[in-house]
Amino acid sequence: MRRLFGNKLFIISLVLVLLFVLAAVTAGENSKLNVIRNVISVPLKPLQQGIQLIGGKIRDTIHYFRDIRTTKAENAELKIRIREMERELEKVHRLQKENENLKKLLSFKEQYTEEIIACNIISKDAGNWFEIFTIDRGSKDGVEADDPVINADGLVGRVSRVGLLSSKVVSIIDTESSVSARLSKTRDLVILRGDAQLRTQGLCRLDYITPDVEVSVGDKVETSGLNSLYPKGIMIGEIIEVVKNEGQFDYYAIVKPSVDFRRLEEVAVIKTGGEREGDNE
Amino acid sequence: MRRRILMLTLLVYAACLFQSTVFGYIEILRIRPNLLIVLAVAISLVRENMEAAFMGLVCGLAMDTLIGRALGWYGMCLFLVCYAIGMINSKLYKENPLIPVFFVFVSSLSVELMYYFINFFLKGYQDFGFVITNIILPESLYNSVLTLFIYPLVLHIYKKLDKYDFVHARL
Repeated sequence: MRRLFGNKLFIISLVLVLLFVLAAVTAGENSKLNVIRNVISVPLKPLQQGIQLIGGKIRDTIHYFRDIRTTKAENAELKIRIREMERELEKVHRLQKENENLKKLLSFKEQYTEEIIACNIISKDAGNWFEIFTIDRGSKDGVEADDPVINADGLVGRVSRVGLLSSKVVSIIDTESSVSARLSKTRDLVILRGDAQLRTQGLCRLDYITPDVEVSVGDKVETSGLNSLYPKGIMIGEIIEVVKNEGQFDYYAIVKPSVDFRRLEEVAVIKTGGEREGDNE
Repeated sequence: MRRRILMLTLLVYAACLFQSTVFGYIEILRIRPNLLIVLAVAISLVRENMEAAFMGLVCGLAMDTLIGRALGWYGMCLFLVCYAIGMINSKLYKENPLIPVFFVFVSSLSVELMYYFINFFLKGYQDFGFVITNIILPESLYNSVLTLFIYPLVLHIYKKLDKYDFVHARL
């Protein structure tokens, strides 16, 4: 036995086999073995948070003087828009009341009871291969794998792996991500996927559009709510290009997400876990 | 020995911290260097083969954790590459500062290629040319530049550790 462990070839093959097993076991997002990630992620979290904070402060200071100049013009413009919006809001309130009453009449069940956890992004993707970032909330705060992640502009992605204090979020522009989506105008179902080349520009693509579906530049895309992972009706983005291939049945379109992934700082996790547990019982 | 392990652990943690935060601010064309590859290769240039291989393994697993997908692929790539470097490093003329730069370039290239093949090519993504020119090559170049700063640091740390061990072994 002693001699066996002295043999380098044996050690190398043993390590390789163990690594293959480890990779196979940890590939699943709900695998119990994902706990060992905490060895790295827990001690790093406060430091990452600190650095992110300092970085933000520095950036704010640099941008301070430039911002002041643009602020005045923006302020005047926004005041006008606020007045317009207030008028519209009144109308919306009235409609909302009306809508509630009508829903009650129909005993319409809301698809999701929304509970939202606000999170800060403490680190962007560490390598160059994926579009996965780290948020500062983990299982301690009630985040669970597969929870959808949004921000004020629209859909960001979903939680992929949960650590104790932090978790990983896969953006919708990642190559492994696919979202069941719907065209807002025509209500046609499509699939939104990340693309290896488009992701570097912060874009993604709509796949498998059949010829009978009318798609044009400027159409809005939203979540369909059909695969039950993402709630219905969350804004995803806008079509900026339609690509038709010669001799192919279906075609695809390029979508610009309404979320700006390069400047993403704060996101919110929608908690769906409670409801899913309820379904199982 | 205990001091050595503590020191190296701290080094890996520091590398992880820098890789996940500060390096986000120094991205060029949305490409960031991979500090853990640079660190693993630098260490394997100053240590013998088995120790080099295991430091490569540790750095690789740390990188896997930072990325947040299946654990083990970077670990495996770096383990193999560092073992190979550890085998031939005694034959190298290390005073030449271009030697570590060259080694980091070649190993970044091979590690990232292996990673691409395992994680993308086998799953059917066929954008090989794009990946080579837009991700792997720029990253390898960036890593090589980074080596100019990291390799002297690693050399310095190991000299200190060796000196400490030497003094305490005699006592």
